[in-house]
Amino acid sequence: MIEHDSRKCVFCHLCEWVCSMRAVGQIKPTASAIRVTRSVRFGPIGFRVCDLCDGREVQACIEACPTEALTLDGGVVKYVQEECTACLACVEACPIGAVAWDAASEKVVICDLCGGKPLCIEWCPEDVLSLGAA
Amino acid sequence: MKYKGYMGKILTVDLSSGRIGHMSLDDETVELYIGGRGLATRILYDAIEPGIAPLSVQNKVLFITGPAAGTLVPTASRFGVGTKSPLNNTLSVSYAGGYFAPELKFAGYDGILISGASDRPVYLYIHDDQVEIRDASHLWGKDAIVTQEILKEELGAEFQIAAIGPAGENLSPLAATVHEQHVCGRGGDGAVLGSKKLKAIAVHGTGGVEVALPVQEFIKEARSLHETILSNPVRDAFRQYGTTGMLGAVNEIKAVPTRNFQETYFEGADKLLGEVLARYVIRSEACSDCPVVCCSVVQLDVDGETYRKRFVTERLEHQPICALGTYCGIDDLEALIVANDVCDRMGLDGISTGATIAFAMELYQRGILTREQCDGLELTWGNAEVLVPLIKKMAMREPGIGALLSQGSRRAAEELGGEAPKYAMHVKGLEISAYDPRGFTGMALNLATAARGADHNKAFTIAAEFLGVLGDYDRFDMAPKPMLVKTMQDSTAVIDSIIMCMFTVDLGISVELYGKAISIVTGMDVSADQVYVIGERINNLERMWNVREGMDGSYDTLPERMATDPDSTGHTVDVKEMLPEYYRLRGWDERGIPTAEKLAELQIKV
Repeated sequence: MIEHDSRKCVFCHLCEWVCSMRAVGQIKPTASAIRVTRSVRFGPIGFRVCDLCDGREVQACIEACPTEALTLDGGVVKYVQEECTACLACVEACPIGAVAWDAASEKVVICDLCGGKPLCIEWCPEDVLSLGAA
Repeated sequence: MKYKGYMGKILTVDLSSGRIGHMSLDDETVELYIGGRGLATRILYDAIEPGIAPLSVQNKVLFITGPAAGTLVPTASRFGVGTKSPLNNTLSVSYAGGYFAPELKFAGYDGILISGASDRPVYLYIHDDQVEIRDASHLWGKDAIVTQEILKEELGAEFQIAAIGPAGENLSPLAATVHEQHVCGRGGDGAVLGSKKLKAIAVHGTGGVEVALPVQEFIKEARSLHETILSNPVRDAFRQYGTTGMLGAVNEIKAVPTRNFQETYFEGADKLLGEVLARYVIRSEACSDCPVVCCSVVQLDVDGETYRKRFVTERLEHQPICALGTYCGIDDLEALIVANDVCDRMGLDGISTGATIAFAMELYQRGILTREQCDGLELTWGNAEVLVPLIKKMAMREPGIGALLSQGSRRAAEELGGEAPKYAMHVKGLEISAYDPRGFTGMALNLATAARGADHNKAFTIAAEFLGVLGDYDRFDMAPKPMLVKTMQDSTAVIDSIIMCMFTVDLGISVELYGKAISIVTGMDVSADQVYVIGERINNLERMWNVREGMDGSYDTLPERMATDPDSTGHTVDVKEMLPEYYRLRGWDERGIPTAEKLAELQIKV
């Protein structure tokens, strides 16, 4: 999973933007599997990205999914759009808000580590992000 | 629209009638003018009647983005605020980075055209296609930063906000629009918003931006632009020092405006250097989509009238350090950090504010202004204690010295009469930024000819005349400067239209690459040659605006001092020696007016 040292983050949003580009073919932060947030100017920065429910055996999104659209596969949550009924139970179930729903493409967006070489890590100009143990 | 990157529409808001609508962009207009500065110039040239008073209900304000905002093209998340300048009647577009431009695109708009005026304070609320003119009586009188904090508290942190401060409310023509602590600095757009009683715009969008190239190809091409910047050694200098690394080098060659341009070497510069300022930096910040990361957050502990507690602000840059510092002979860095923060909060252009204070200090030195006329303040060189009180008086337009200086140096000088105009350091009414024209003849020509007045960012010739990153020009040799200035003004107009950050000029982004940035986003095929043509078109249309307002080449002058009083190295500069060649290269007549043939060649409708 993606680990982050939020104290080093400079709030450039590149991770969000490149993630959404790959996920839905547009630059669209609401359709990104990683979100960077800050509530006050110069305040602490937070990340929302799948942490596999803090490493627990059962992931909330997978548990909530009424079909086989979400499964744990090789250390990431795998999404199969064909199985998805767009019920959004996964979005609601995620305790940290790391599952996005893109209405335009009717897709759930959740971090799959880009198949092993995450774009967000490559694009971060400040080495905030790294690949942690699954 | 066939071109990508654009949302295809400008939100239109009439504050008199409350009517909200939109205008569509068309392919031909964006082919000719791209976006940002170019598109703003075209739209406002057509939308604003000639001769109107800038603070009247007839003026309009256009918030504009470029096609690359909200894409992965590096540094392109900038927005511009265009209007008829209340400082000098030119068409002024000022820019800021931050997060506003992409948020506006995500909400579905390339820009916002504001017309009319409200009779009570309002702010504009935009959440995708939900657009409302809302009451802002609780925000009126608040500073520009606090205004944003209140709105974020009310609406949610996901809203991005641009606001004016008291200076804009009080109609000072030095007033700016502020987003986060990024300031659309020059030309007085804040006063026009103030005249319309529009305190702020809050925007949040949930949509996306499409680009022309297929996903993988686009990611690859955009990445290569990022790599060009990241691998450039200058990037680390920007990251560490912002623009504050310039002062030491420019002071060493004696080209830093000092004590209102009476000298060009400041003996106290060592106390203001980037390395000294770096001690206050607690961390770095970036605008959206920017690998340069030039912003820094600084912290200092102040126990004074204004700030009694630990206070955190954005690092100030080369321009305000000089305008508030060296122009005024002030070497107290902490006082400058505070004064710069107060300018931002009041919503004032730090350059024009500092330069106008320096102007007043020279009048004080010469006995033209007395202590009584200055509300009891001692406007002696180096007196840092007058900065904050003066800035606040200017923002509030307090009767006395505040109201006098709030007009900018040209009008203040005209009001005082006598010898005073000799000491107002401006071009076309816009105060001169911090590279002394006598030390850089290319910058001198740019400052004299730029349509909106003395704006160093219309052609940052320092990159070519001093830094050596764009060729190797002698600083004083005038012969090659007309061509240098023309080409740089033209390429710069396109950078301002994408809208990319001017720093990229120093970071290895060539004219070819600016063309490429447009191409990969929009699908237009823009070569380096076309970049120059588009830029020339924009500069000519801006020029035609001035002609329409009665300003011809007789306004292409520098203050007399530049030609008569030697700088600290003994140099003077007379731009008249370069103007004929510059006009010839531009295809303008001897009065500096574009010929009919030139306008036809550039497909400019006037």
